[in-house]
Amino acid sequence: MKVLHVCSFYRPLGGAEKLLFSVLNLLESNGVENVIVAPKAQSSGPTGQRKEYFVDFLEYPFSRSSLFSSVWTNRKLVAALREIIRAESPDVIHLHNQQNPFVYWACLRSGVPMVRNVHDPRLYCPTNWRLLPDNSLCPHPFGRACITEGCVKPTRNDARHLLTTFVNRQLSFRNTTLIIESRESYEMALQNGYKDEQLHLIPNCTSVPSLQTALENKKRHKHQGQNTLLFVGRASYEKGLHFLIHALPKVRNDFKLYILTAGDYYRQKIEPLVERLNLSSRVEVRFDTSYEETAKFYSMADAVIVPSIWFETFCLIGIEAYSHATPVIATRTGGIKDWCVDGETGFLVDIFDEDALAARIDDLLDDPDTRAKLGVNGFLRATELYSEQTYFQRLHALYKQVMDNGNTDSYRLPRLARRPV
Amino acid sequence: MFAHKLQNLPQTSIRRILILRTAPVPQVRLAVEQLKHAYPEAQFSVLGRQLNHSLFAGMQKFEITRPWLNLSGYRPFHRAVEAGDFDMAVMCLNGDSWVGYEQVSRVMKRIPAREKLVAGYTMEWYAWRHDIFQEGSWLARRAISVLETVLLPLVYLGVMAMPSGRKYMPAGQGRSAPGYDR
Repeated sequence: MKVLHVCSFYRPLGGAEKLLFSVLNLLESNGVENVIVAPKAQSSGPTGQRKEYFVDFLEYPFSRSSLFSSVWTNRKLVAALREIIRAESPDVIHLHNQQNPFVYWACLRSGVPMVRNVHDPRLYCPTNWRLLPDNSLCPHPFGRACITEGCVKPTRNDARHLLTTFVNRQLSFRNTTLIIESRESYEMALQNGYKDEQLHLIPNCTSVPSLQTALENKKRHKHQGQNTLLFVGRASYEKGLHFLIHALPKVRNDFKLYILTAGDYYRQKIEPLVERLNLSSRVEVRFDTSYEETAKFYSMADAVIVPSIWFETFCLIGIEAYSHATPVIATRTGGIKDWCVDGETGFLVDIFDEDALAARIDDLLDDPDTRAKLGVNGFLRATELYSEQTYFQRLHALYKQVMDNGNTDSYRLPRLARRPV
Repeated sequence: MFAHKLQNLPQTSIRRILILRTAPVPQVRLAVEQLKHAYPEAQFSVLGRQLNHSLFAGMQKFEITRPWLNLSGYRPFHRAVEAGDFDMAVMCLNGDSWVGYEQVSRVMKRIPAREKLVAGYTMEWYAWRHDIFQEGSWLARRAISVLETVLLPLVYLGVMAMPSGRKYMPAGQGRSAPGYDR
């Protein structure tokens, strides 16, 4: 079996990219041939581990480019993709984190069956994160509300963004099976007009060592006499760092919070907040931490906090914490509810409920026995439901299914705009 | 069109530099550091969005509120920039590609500076020319621009015609957001 993977980022970045590399390794160790198409960029060069093509303009800045520039530039990309697909003749095309409708169109035209990961609501949300202008969660599907709620303003840039989302959404109804990561994502896809038969639920995975190794690592990395909290991920608004930082002054216990992140946002928005709340001595930030180093922090932490305040599609951080036998305190939103069982593998709190978050942190810091119990329960849950082998079996079965179905147009729209249910 | 790569930064007297902040801070920082090294006496100003960062401390700020720097975002600062009497204007690229900077380049066109440069992603310097950010013939660009002007309102109308359907909000998630500084 040969699979052509098209990905916007081909380097360690966030959860989606971590999953991508896990999937590639898994497939290759089970005899599947992978071919990569990724953007030409300074940061993502050839790895030499598989056949790789690097092309221009895979991640195209539509909102700030004129229609002419978009069409003119992307016509070269479409030609390059068609050439690659013709040369490689893949059995399946797998789109990862890819938002360029020209790429989608070129792949559709090839007639090769396609699967596509849905890591976020971009397929149907022009603001990407399904957050309203007042920063609360958006309950609406794609449609009139995008304009009436003020998410899309009457500017040229917004109109281009809206057009890109509209075209991506229309194309995604055709000949593509969507890989959905959680039940809530599934619900939202249905709400946005996708049909059951087009959706395939495959939760994310992580590598899980033996319980003994996880516990030994915990013992080795634990800072004695210090309560350690951990946040991992980008510091952008939807990931809820504001919410966490605002809750911290309400925590009774002494603690040290480690934040492993990347990018500008922390310095611009979170650092001033930390200083304003006099938390500088209790918060330590590390930028661009490697996966290996991050693993040590998971082992060291008494609790991992996942304070997301959007419809989190899955959030790999949670099950990674579980694979290190570390309990999680998370918000009751999106895919988090699938892996975090309140009171068994961690605690759930409502989004923006700062008092509840602080109380749950205290509950865990007060009681080492509960911490250990929840950590082990989380580990067992990760082993049972989110192992790499389980993921491979599900993905491989999906590939075979779409190959058997061939190039069907079963999802083709009856009309231009499919109405949300 | 090919951009002309510079071997060195211009060896002329530069007193006032305007930075167009069209890339993330680490990228802009590299450009600013090189400029400070080459022109230690120069005063810096910055035009763009999200200027609340230590890198821009002490600089004269022209902060736009729009999501991307374009002519209408620049308009309120037009007179102040003209009065600023800048010797050099620099736009920073956020990637290997030159695509997507046409609007920023239009702003560059309006800025009355003696030297206009582009700080490339690989920290190479280029002489700015508007045509390196444009492709195709004038006629084709014009025709499609008119088409876009007609098409974009139709996108709004098309989406407005799509009913929003049922709402989705499970318990515990529909809380109104506190006023965090996003």
